[in-house]
Amino acid sequence: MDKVRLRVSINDRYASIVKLVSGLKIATVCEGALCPNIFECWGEGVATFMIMGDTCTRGCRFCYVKKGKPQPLDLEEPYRVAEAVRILGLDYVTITSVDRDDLPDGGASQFAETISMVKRLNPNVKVEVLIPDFRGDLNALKTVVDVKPDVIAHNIETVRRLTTTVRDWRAGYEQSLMVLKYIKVFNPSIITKSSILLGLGETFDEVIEAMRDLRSVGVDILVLSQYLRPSPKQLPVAKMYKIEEFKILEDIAYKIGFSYVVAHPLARTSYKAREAYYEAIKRLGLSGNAKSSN
Amino acid sequence: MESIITIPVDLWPRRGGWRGKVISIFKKPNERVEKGEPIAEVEIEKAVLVIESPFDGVIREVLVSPGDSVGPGSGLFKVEVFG
Repeated sequence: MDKVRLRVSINDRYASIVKLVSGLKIATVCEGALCPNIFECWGEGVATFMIMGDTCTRGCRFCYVKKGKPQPLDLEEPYRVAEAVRILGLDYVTITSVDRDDLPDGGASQFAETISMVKRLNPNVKVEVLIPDFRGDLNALKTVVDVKPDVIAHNIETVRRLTTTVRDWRAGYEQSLMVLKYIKVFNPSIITKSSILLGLGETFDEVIEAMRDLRSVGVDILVLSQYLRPSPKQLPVAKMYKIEEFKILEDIAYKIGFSYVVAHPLARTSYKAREAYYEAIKRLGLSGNAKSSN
Repeated sequence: MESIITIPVDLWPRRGGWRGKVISIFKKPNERVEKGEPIAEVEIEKAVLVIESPFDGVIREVLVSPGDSVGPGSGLFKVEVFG
């Protein structure tokens, strides 16, 4: 199976992100998940912050993020993330987290505090969050929705049949669909987004079923990407999809009704998130005064 | 000035535990190398990393062979650096 080739290119902007995130003690999913796009994103001065530490309470079998008992919540973290956004001069920020099943609200209040602080210190910034399922706790979900991030992403990750194999036992296909549905119930103006990793053993028809399921709960932006095994501890790759297959699925996704589709082997939920958001709101007729490019 | 080209430690800086295998070496001793030029390939589980030279110079010694296990900070080439 041919592997993806990544050009290791470290420029000054990359080096400045290394210094910033290390200095502010903010975790990034770019590092935590060995993201293949780190050279491109950090080289352009963009990183995806991962709040509530670097250790996840769940054991999804595709994911490289550290698993185990997490550290106590750092109450100054929202401020430090907001400060990092200011220093980097970002006008669009993506924030994700580890799962925190150890916390009563699954970390929803830390998400809300971080979103609020980022917006307070950076009034013009757009905020996209990639959230866990909060074990289906709708009160926790509403805590995040109520502070009005511009985009809320939650990933189903795989097709219905493979969910129990690929994701942690506490995750669920229907539970994730419910989370995505209720974001829109609580606030229809928030753009929603979800990702499917391809290459874990799913069939073409199952991918289409998953896309229809996501669209049925109002998801606006779909991300389709190739699963790449981070280490021998994770699931093997069942199939490497060809670019043409991504294109076919992208066309089907648009026919199903998504406002924007990111379909590429190296796409990840936060990859080119800014572009996806502005294209989606343009197509939804919501662009108003929104800035569509730098 | 002589220097060592290494696998950057700033690659996924706080997840430095990964290892890979050298699969290609593109330079021999006494060959010139330019900043940004691919000089070696390292295969990790997830991908193949194409390592670039961080400066202009002349290769003095190749420190690894195909098949060698390497990680962040591993030396690849000894180089006479220009300027």
